[in-house]
Amino acid sequence: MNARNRPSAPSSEPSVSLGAGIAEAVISTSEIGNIVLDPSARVMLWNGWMERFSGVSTDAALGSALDSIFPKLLDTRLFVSIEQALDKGMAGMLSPGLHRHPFPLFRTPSDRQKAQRLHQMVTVKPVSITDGPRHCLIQIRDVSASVSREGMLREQASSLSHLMVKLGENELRLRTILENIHDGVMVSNADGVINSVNAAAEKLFRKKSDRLVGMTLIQLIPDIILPSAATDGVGEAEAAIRSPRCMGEGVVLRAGDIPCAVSYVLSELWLGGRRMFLCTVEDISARKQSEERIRRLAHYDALTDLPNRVLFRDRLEHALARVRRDGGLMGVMFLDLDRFKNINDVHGHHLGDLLLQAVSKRLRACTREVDTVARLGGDEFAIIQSALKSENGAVVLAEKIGEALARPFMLESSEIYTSPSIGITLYQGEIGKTPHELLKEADVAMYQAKGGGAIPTDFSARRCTRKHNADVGWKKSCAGPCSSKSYDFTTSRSLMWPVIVSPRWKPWCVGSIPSAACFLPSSLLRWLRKAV
Amino acid sequence: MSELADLQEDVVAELFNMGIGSATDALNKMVGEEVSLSAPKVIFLSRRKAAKQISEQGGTRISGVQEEFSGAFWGTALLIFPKDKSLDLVCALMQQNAPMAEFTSLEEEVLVEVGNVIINACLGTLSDVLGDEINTTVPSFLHGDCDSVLAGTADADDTVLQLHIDFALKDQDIQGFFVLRVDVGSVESLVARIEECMLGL
Repeated sequence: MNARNRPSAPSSEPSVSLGAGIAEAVISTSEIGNIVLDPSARVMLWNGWMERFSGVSTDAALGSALDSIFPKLLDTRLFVSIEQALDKGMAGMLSPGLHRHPFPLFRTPSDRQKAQRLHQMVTVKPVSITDGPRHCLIQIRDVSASVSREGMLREQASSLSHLMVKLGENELRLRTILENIHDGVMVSNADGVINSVNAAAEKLFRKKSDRLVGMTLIQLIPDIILPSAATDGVGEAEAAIRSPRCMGEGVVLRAGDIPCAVSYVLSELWLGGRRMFLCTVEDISARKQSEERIRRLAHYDALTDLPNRVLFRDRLEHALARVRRDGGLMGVMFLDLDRFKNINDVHGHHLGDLLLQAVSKRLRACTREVDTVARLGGDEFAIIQSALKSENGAVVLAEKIGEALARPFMLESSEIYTSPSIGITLYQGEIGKTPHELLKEADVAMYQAKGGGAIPTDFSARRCTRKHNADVGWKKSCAGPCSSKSYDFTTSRSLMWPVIVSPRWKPWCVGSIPSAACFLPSSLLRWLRKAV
Repeated sequence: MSELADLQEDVVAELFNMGIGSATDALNKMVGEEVSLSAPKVIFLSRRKAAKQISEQGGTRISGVQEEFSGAFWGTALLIFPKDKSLDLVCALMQQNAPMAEFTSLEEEVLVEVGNVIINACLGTLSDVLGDEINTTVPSFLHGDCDSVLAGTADADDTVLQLHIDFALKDQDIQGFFVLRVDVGSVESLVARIEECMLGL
């Protein structure tokens, strides 16, 4: 029957109390167990709930002492509480956490067989009827459902807390690994704003993490390019696979604007639906230095720091190509030191090395920035004179070098004299001429000069003068650091720095060295005559 | 309002100590583990001061148990713990390893039962010795900030009787506070009963 169809209670006679019968029915059908004990602890009330779950009928319970119905209750906390209620008027409660099953109550017969009691929450209250003796009301609630729910919650909480501990451990482990990685690792958001860095990154940029966090990757690595979001809209797992990686090298400025060469790898990450970048940075300045050292070792002579044969050939090829392309004139000079072997033998290799170093310095001083002075090996040097204005320029340089090397060298208290033999060849863009051929021509010219067989007459006087001086020096060199002038000069035919100029405009001369006078340009001859 | 003379205060302190002794026995039986309770001193102070003192020692967030009592002496009995400490206590009593961050109803009820045992033991001893019945109601759980829990209907300057209770179990030392919130009439009645008893001795 619904509320609308119910007959309304007479408003003139409101119901103010329940009849004893209704009260009894309410207690009997109540969803909690109710027991009332009289002052002598005998059962006065035993409701339907108690009947159902205890298996003791109301008729059997009424009038019985509670400890005769449940003998095991004696001396329990429940019993003490009942005594306190009856004797002292004090209420008590038994929590399911400490007393799960005070009464032997079972939900089903099978539970009874399995001795699986209800979880109970018991309150014990003194009930005093006006001026009458004190009774005791025991109320029992079935809290099995909430106990089991809380048990589950507790298990979940325990698993969660275990998981949190594991997560914490994992995070610590990852953090430890990250902190011990040699490369700098930085994580940024999609805009490149850094939100975490490892210790190696701090070391590399020489900035503390709190300064690095908040900066952008581009601020730190100006060459870096953040890829556009190519993986938008794809699943995280797929994005992780497809995430673009870009790598490169660049120079970063450390604290104090100190440049440092780095290589970097930038990877795109999707974590928790957010686009991020993982940037690993490696300090490659040591590697770069090492590469530079290797490159130098491969291209430069370790003793004199001049370009070696390899680099010379390379530069010669470039110079040749430039003349072929742009026109103009260039010269290749081949030079060695006269009697270098003797100097080595007399003064030792160490001094020989010092002489080579000193000669290199003077050669460099004689040449322009654009020229290449190389040591081809032993006491052999070669010079590329690029962008010569005239043939004369080559002879001027030869003269200058001759003068420079004729000056004595003071090496570890020894005064050493030497002189060069120089061969020059000129190049004006002839088709088919190779660097090898050009160098060979200069080499042959140099040997021609050294041999002295094909020296033009115009060179004779000069040659003799030079020979004389050079021989004085040579004798002095042999005698050591002595300034004596009483040496007997021989008239040996050693030629000190005669210049042979290879033919460039008379191709038929190549391969057989003709007399220099035959092919020296008239302007050069004029200049040489004037000079002597 | 009436104040207790030193001698009377000593009597009350002794009575509560006896009560605490009996509560210790009860708890040991319940928990099956060595629980040691001690109540070093009993002090009368204003509710405001009591709240301040409890907050200073255990923080403002507290949990506790409350029982009304009536008879020759009436008021509200409260057993109060700092919230974190009460969780530790319950956890130790329930022999759980990891305390939860918050109370579940199961834990609330355990704390209520512990409070019930202690309050009933103390008031029961007082009642036995004074020869006057003190009835108690079913205990209830309370939590919140110290001031509001202690306030009830009493004025901030009203006197409360406060006992510090130290719980020692499972290597834990947990300090709780037993507080009786009583009104003027109730204290006067208690003083009178104590005087009568002392005269009768």
